[in-house]
Amino acid sequence: MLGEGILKGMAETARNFFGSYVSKERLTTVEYPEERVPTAENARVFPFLVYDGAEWEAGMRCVACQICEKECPPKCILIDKSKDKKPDYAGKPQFYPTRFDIDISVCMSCQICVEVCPFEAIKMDTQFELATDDRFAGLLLDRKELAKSNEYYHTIHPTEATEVDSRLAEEKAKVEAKAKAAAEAAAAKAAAAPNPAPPADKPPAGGGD
Amino acid sequence: MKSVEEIKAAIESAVPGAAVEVVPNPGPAAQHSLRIAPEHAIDIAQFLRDDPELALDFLSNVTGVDWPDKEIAEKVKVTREVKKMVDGPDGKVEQTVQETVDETRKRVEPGCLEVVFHLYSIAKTHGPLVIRMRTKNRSDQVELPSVTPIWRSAEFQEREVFDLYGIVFTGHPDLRRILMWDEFKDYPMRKDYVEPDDFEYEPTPHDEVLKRAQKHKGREQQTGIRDQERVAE
Amino acid sequence: MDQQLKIELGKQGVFVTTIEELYNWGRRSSVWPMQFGLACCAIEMIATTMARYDMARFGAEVFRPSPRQADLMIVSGTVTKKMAPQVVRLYNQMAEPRYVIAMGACAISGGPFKQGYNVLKGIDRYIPVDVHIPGCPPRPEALLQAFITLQKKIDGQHLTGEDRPRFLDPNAQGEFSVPDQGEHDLEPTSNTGVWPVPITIR
Repeated sequence: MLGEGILKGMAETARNFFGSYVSKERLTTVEYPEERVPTAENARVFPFLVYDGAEWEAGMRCVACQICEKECPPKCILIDKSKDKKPDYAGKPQFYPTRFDIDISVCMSCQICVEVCPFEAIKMDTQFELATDDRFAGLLLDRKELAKSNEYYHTIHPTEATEVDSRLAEEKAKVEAKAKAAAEAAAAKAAAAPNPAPPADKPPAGGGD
Repeated sequence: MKSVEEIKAAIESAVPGAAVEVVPNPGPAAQHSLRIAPEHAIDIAQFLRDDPELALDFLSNVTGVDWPDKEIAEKVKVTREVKKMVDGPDGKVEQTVQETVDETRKRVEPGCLEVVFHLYSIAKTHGPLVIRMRTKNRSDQVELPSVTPIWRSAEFQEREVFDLYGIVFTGHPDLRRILMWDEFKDYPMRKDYVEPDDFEYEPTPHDEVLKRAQKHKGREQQTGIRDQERVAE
Repeated sequence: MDQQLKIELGKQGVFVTTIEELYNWGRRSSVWPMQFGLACCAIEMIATTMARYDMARFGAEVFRPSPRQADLMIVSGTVTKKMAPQVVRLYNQMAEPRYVIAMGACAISGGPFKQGYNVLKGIDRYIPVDVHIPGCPPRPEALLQAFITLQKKIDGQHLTGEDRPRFLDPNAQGEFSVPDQGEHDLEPTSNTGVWPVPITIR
C-alpha cells in the first residue's frame, strides 16, 4: 500500500502521545530540575579526596605518593608533597599534600586514579552540576574543594564505603596487634635480661693501685 | 591459511625475482610478517589477491612505522704503529712498536619508513597476513608503490600514511593530506616531531608538559607582563 | 521593586515587570540552538533533546540548521585544528544576540586528547564562551543545568549602562578573526583579545 511506512510511524507516535495520558510508563520525561533520575550506585563524575573525622586537613587520607598524578592519562592532577609528616589513621607518620589540584576541564572520569590509590584516599564523586562561566578558577579544584568527609562517601557509595572502612579497620587492627606484640616482646626482654647497671656500693673489681 | 613460509614460497614461485623475507614476531601472538621489496610489490599484491588458494581480497589496515636513525657504538680491536719511549741500553730511546687497543667506533645506521598491510580473505575467511615494505631512507627516497589499483580500501589509508609519516605512494589516484590541512608541513607520527607551542595555559603541568609550559611562564616572570599584553606591543 | 512584593502581588493576579525583565524573559525562554555537534558530546546533546530529558521544555525547541537563525552554539566535542577556522566562521555568521556553551572537556580545554597534534586546546581560544560544562561527557542533566545557568545569565543582562552586552554596544567586537592554517600550527595560537590567560600560580 502506498504510504504504509508513514502510517506505521504515525501510529507509533499516536500510541505514545495518547498513551501518555493513560499510562505512566509512556510519560518518560523526567522534569529536571524538579525531578531527578535516581543515580546508580557506581555512577561517577569527578574525583574527590576522602578525609576521616571532622577536620579535613588533619584527617585527609592522601599521603602525596603521587601515583595518581603519574597514572592519570590526560595528566590533570598536580600534587605538591609536604616537607614534614603527620600521623595517618593507623598512627604511622606520613607525608601529606600541600597542593592537590585537579583540572576538571580535562578530567575524563576514567577512575584510574581511584584504582591505583593504595591508601583509599581518592574516590569518585557523583555531583555533575558544575557548569560555570569562569574558565580558569572555576574549573581548577584545589584540595579544600576536593576534600569531602567519609560520611559523605557513605551517602553516595554505601557498599563501597563500608567495604573500604572494614578493610582499613583490618589494617589498623593488624598494625596495632603488631605494635602490641612488639611492646610485649620488648617488655619481656627487659624483665628477663640481668640488670646491666652495676649497683653504686659494689667495690670495683681489682682495685686500682 | 598456509603458514608464512609456505606463502613466501608460493610468492617466489609465482613472481620470479621477488625478494621476500620472513620477519619473525617474537611475542606470544607469533604473527610473523613478510617483508617485500618495492620493485615487485604490485605483482606480489596481484598474486595474493588473485591466487585461488590465498584469495586475500580484503585489505583491512594500512599503517606506517618510523624507524629512526640508530647510533651504534661498537668496540673494535685496532692495531696501530705507535712511537713510544722504550728502555734502551743508554736510557730512553724512541722506537716504533705495534700496539693493539680497543677503540669504540660510532656509526649511524640510517633509518627508514615502513608501511605495514594487514590482509584478510572474505571468500575463504582466513587471515590476517601481514606484509611490510620499507623505503630507502627517511629524508629524500620515500617513494613506495601504491596498492590502491589492487585493493580500493588503500585509497584513504595510504593518504593517512602519507599525511602522518611522509611516505609518497606512486600510482595513488589522489594523494593529499587527509587528517591535517594541506598547508601543514610536518609529519606528526614521526619520532622527531615536536608539538607546536600552544602551552600558554597549563594549570597542572608536570614532567614534559612542565618543560614546555615553563617557556611561557618564564617570559612572564622575566618581563612581568602577561602574554596578552605582550602581543599588543 | 523587591522580589517578595512581586511574588505576593503575583499571587493576587497582578504582574509587575520592567521592560528589561520582559525583554530578557522573552529572550531566555526561546534560545534556539544551532545544529552543531562534533563528537561524543553531541550524542549526549541529542539525548537531551529526546523524550527523557526534554530540552524543549526550556525553550530550545528547534535546532536551527542555519547559523543566521540560531541564538546558541553548543560546541559539543573535540575541536580539531582543521575544523577550528570553520567553527569561528560559523560563529561569525550567527546574528547577535548569540551565546556559546562549551560542552564537555574537549571543547573547554582539549580534554583527554590535549596532547594530540591536531587538537585545539579549547574553543575559547578564538570565540567568547558563556558557559563551560565539565565532564566527559557531561550528563544530559548537566547540559540542562548549564542551560539554566545561561538563562540566568541572560536574565541578568542590562539593556543600558556600562555593562551592557555585546549586541547592544556598537563599539564592541562583532566579528572574531579566523585563524590561519599555517605550516606547523594555527596562526595565531589563540586570539589574545578573547582569551585572557591568567598567570599560572605555580
